[in-house]
Amino acid sequence: MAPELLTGEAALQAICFKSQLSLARNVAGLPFASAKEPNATTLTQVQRWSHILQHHFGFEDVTADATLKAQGVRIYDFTPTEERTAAYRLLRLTCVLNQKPYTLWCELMTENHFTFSTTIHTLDFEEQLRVLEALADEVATHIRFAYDMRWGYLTAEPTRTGSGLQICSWVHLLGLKLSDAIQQTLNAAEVKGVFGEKAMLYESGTSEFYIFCNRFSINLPPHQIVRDYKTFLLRLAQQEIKARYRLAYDNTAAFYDLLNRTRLLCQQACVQPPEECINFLSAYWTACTVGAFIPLHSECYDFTTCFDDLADECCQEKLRSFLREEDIQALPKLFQKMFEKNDADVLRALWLRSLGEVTFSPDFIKRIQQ
Amino acid sequence: MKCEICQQNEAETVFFREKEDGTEEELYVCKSCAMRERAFGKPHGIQVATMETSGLPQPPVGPEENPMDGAFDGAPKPVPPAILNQLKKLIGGEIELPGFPGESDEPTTKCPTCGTSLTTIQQDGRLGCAACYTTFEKEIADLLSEIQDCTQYPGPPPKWMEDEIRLKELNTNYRDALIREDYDAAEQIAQAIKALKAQREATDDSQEEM
Repeated sequence: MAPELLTGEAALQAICFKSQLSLARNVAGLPFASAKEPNATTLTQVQRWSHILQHHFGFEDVTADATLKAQGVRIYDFTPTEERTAAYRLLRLTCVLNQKPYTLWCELMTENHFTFSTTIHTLDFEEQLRVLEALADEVATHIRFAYDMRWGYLTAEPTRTGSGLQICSWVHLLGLKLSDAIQQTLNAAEVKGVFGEKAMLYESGTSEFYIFCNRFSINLPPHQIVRDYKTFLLRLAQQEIKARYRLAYDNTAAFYDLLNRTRLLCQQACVQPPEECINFLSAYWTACTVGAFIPLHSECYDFTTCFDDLADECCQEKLRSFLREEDIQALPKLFQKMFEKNDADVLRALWLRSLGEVTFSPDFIKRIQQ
Repeated sequence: MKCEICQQNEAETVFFREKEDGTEEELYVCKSCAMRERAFGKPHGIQVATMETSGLPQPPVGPEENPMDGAFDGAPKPVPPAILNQLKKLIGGEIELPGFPGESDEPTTKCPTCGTSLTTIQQDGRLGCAACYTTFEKEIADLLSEIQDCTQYPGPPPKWMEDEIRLKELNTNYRDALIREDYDAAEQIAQAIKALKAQREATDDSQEEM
């Protein structure tokens, strides 16, 4: 991978694989959603809000969608199923603005009455925020939100009072983790007004993935919060990329060992559990960013595909839709056999097989030999 | 003037305390000390000037619960006019009436709108409703100042809030115009207010229809 990673937004693209922007809003004159168990009146109100969102803004009610129920919490960070009340609604809006596709979500009756959110793999936070705000403002012409001249938007959690904005990013910090600089990084983030913690993607946890989110929402206007946050992420990305290069150049033997195992395991990924798959991806991508791996197929370089939604559940869904459209016989014999045995394993195999098709770069091999 | 009990807060009300030798002393105290002493008034022998003594109506209190019981030997003593005047000065012309809802010395512990208590908020970290922000204003300001290092949102007000701000401005301008006896200007402002209100009503109606 070219060293331009050390400059500009390319570094950020290399470490930040998913971000979520969300705006919390509450309806004026009503108790916050988290305050009381929903009664008949609440259910009627929620029905009315849901109606407004569906008929005036084109949202669709996907509360009962089984796939989203299963994946939504992990992929989109929706409210966990066990915390949802009878009044909970999940609505989705798919639209195209300025020739760009957007998928916006609105959760009703989580901790706040409305939580507008968008999950993105790109870095145009400002643009996404503009769209979210425009939507929330438009909804405000139909439903009066709780707002105070001093406090701003009033939310159930004091951490979101003000703009109601929360930005979360899932980042991959294997370089800093292996360099033992992670705690220092988290402390520095705290000082910059960003909270960071380990992402628990699976029960066993994968310690090289971290979630960062803004700590303040009242001290600055939302666009300033987004700009500052992105600046922080950019610096974090540069630190991480530098750490990866140090790792690859200063500790080549250990790094080679890690990558070799990764490469071998990626090739036979079908037998690995999901958390292992994620670990392979982590090492794989780190190797790509420092030029130790050269993928044999260009699509293997696609970082967003690599970490997209971070889970094989997505892959499963993709293959399932593929299987619905195509004859199962179209699959190679090997996969047919495996599919009969366990479809999840096949999917992992399909997904990670391409990642196994990498070779060590001549430069890296040279360094190993030295 | 500082509270004569805690010596920290500003004195806001007056107490009469019966000394051991049977004579009375008057104390100027803050709200919280007044509350504390009223709750433990009997054993401490501290009395507060009440509506009974000031000649104003007092909320009904059962004989058992009345902290005044026995304090005046059964007969309320009139508050000297000088003290009443002093009291009025201390509280800006408004007499504090202990025991009246909303005027109690007791610090508010529950939101009157949603019933969420301050303890619940402190434990769960979640507020119950928008009114909690007003009810526990000081506590929330402290909390926000601690966790967000700021208690004033600098963001632009939402569009619909702009109308309210505009309406306030117009009302102020209207009053000023009347004071200046500039009736032409007042007429114009009144029309602007009317138009703005009509616009808001139309919006509210359309919301109701939905």
